[in-house]
Amino acid sequence: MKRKTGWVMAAGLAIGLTAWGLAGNTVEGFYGDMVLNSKAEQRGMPPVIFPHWIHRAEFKCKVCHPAIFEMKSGANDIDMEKIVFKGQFCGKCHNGETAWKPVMCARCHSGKPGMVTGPLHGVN
Amino acid sequence: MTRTVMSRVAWVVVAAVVLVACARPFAKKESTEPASTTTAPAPAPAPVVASPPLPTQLGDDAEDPTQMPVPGLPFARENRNPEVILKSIPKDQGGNVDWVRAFKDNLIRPRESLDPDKPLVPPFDFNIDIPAVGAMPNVVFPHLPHTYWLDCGNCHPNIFVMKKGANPISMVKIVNGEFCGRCHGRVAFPISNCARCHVKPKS
Repeated sequence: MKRKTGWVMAAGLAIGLTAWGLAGNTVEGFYGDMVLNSKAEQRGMPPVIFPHWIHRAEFKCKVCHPAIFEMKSGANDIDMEKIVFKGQFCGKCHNGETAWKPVMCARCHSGKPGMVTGPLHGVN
Repeated sequence: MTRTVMSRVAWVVVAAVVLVACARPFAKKESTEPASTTTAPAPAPAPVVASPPLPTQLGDDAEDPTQMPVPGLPFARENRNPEVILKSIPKDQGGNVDWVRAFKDNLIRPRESLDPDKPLVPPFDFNIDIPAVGAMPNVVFPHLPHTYWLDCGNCHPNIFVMKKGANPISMVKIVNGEFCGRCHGRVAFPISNCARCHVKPKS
C-alpha cells in the first residue's frame, strides 16, 4: 500500500515537472503587442504582430499617434501597397532609411491563423 | 530488499526529470542564439565570447536580407537591441514594465519626433483629483508622466474634454475602451493595477 502511494507520488511529480519544464519557456510576445489581421489572412498571409514594446523604447507615443496611426484597433486601413510604394503607415520609417525595409515577410507576419485584430493578450 | 531498490529507482527517475526540467530553459536559450554562431566555424573555445554585431542605430541594420527569420519567435531578433535588453528595465507592482521609471532613470531615451530638429516640448506638471466611487481611494491624474509620451492633442479634446466635470468617467467605460481605457489595459499599464491610479485615500 505504502509502496503504491510512493510510486503514484513519484509519477505525479515527474509528470508535473515535465509539464512545467516544457511550458515554462514559451515566448508569446509582450503586453501591449498588437495583432493586425483585418486583411492579412484574407490575402493568404499570417497575421501581423506589431511589437509595441520595442517601438516604445525607441519612440514616444506622440511620434506615431495620432498622425501616422489612429489609436484604435481596426481604424487604420493599412496594406502593403501603402507601406512599400506610398510610404504611409509602417513605411514612414520602414523604408530602408530610418529603419529596415519591409522585405522579410515573416519578420512582421509572424502571427498564427485566427488571431483577432487588437491587443495580443486581450484587454486586461 | 526489492522495496528499497524500487524506491531508489523511483528517486533516480525523479532526479532525472528534475534535471531535465531545469536544464530545458538553458538548452532552449542556446538554440535561440544568433544564427551567426552556427554559420561561422567555431574556433577553439574562446576565453571571452565576442559580442555579435548588434545594431546600435536604428538605421544600422546588420542583417542578411537573403535569410528569412525563423517564424514563431517574432521578437527574438528585436530583443537583442542593446538599448533595450542590456539594461534592466524596472517593473511596477503588477509585474509590467514601468516605462515612466525607465524614462525618468534615463534607461531609455525615446525619440521626440521623426524630425531631429524639432524642439523638445517641456513636460507639463499638473495633477487632477478625480473622486472615486465608494470606498476606493480617489484618483490623482498626473499630467507629468503623460506629457513625457504624449502631446496635448493626443487626448484633448477627443478623449477628454478640457473642462472640469465634463468627462463622465467610470470603470465600466474604461474597461470598454473609453477615456483612460483608450490606452490603459491595452498598451499602457493594465487596469488590474488599481493602486497605481487610486492613490489618495479618502479622509
